[in-house]
Amino acid sequence: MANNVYRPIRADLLEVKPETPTIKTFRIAPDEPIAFRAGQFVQLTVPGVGEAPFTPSSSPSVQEEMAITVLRTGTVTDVLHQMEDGAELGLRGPFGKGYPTEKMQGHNLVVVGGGVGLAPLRSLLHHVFEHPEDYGRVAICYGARNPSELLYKDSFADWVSDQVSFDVTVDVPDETWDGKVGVVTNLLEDFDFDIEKCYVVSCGPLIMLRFVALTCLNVGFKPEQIYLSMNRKMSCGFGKCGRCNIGPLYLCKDGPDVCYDEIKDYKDAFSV
Amino acid sequence: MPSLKFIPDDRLVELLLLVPGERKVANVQSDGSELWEHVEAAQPAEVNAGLRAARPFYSAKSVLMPVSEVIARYGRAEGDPLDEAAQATMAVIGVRGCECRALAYLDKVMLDEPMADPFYEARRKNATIVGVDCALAADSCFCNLLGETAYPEVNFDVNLSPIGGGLLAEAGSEKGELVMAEAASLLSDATAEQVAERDAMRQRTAEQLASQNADYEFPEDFVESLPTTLEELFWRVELGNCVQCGGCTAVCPQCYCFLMFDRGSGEGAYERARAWDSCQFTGYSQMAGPPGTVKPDPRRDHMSKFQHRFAHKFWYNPLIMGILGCVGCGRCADTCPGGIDLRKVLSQVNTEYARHG
Repeated sequence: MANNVYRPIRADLLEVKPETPTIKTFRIAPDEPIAFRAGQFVQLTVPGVGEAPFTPSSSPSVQEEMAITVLRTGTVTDVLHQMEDGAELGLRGPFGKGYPTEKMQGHNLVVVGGGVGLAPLRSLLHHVFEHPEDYGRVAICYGARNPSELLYKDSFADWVSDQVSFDVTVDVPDETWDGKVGVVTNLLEDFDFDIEKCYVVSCGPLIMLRFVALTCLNVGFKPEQIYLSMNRKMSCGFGKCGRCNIGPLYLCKDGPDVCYDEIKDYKDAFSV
Repeated sequence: MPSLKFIPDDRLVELLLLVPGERKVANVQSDGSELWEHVEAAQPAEVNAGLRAARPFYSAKSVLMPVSEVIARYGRAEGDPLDEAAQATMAVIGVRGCECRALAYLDKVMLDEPMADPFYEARRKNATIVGVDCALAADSCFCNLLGETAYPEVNFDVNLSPIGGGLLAEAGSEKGELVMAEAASLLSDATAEQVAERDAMRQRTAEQLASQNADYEFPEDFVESLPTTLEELFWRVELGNCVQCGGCTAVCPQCYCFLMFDRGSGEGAYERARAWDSCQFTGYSQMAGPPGTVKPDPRRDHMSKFQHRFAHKFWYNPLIMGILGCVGCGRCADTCPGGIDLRKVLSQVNTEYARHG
């Protein structure tokens, strides 16, 4: 029988973990293992409702199951958020290029997440933590709208080491918050390591990505050092259905993480 | 040079019935209107008239890429629609030069990395293409302005050239050679006069195209010129005539975008379907957002949708694959209720670029 790339692989929803009032992490086991690189995405099917694209937040070295962290924000995610352990889902993929981890070897990394944008970056962090000798210093900078919307709070302390620093800020503090206040780009202004041999990797809302890019340029990064997880409507997953382009790039096959240098000249790159 | 054979008008349908394909679809002229029709269901005169008319309104795309189709079944639903698509064979008859070039473009999009669209791949592999020269150009045709010919040069298995009393047939592939061999008893060697008649017909069409497009001038390099004109006033004038009907992308032989959607098909059974979509439609590039909010859409305003069609065809495509996303067939102008003519838009790009470039 011919291989039909449009048919989802059946998958079991093993566990639902609430992360914030609007975000949950779903642990999913597909019937056939799906090998993905950090940053590659899958199309998650909610049966009868439709598909939506997500980059797994779990380690790429585990193929039998994956974790997907999802913000409740539309038709598919609304239904997904109401599902419970044992439900049936579908998966297609992986799609996209993933983070250029080979190119990043031997370099320092600045990892900038905004809100649920930390989720895809966590698969990269897993990869880096599993291969610490391949990378230099890692600075994780994370921002969320308010303290209750911070993801993976239990992991923050575990991430920090001689190699890895972690800094966090919120836009709007509450009575529980005694940390930094302000947008995540405030965290990007001084680094105690060489930014010449460094890549910036960022995921978050488009407006944030734009200011991450501009701030990094101000600080002295070059456009080709900045990788952004761009947001577009990705549907088929392999460059056929047409809607996810930024200029000549199709995010589903050429991204979704793209070098700022490749998109900066297209006027709708950061349009929302 | 591949050998040219003559098929008389009254034996044409016999030849076409020898072309492999369970479904044999031709663009026919019936009571003054044209349609894609099964050869067996049409009158021989209607088939012949279809091959002598100007290019049809709907291109071969509408035969090779269904307007909508089920592409997967899952849950308790049984069977795979790909199996059916992989078995179906088809002959597409009367494919014009522009459409044959459009197939080269669709092949590039649909068959190339990172993986092929399995439905297109199966249909394309199982289709036999019978091309035809344009003995007549439509008023809106402008393939000559893109440096192309009004007869098929690539992607045909057999090509037909209408002349007096019959057509000249030429094989363009091994599959076509087999058809010609099987039809040997219907065919005779083309005479020198018949070949000269074909060349004269091609020349007449070329002259018609040159004459009807004499007032238009395209930029030499679209990638260089188009991006520099995006703020010019003429875009706003053209935009004022666009009602976002999506007709231009529907009749375009190269536009391929589709929308995927899932639906229930029984208890615990589901199917995934797709339908032609258009970059001109509201919602085309819209992403998810909470109910009651303005959802993110990188091409929200009408102008960004309108210009995207031109940017994709004349700016991004040359960068991606080295060819334009347009073959100059003019179907978009024929269908546009606002009378937007791509020739006029591109000529204005040329004028403004020359003025400021």
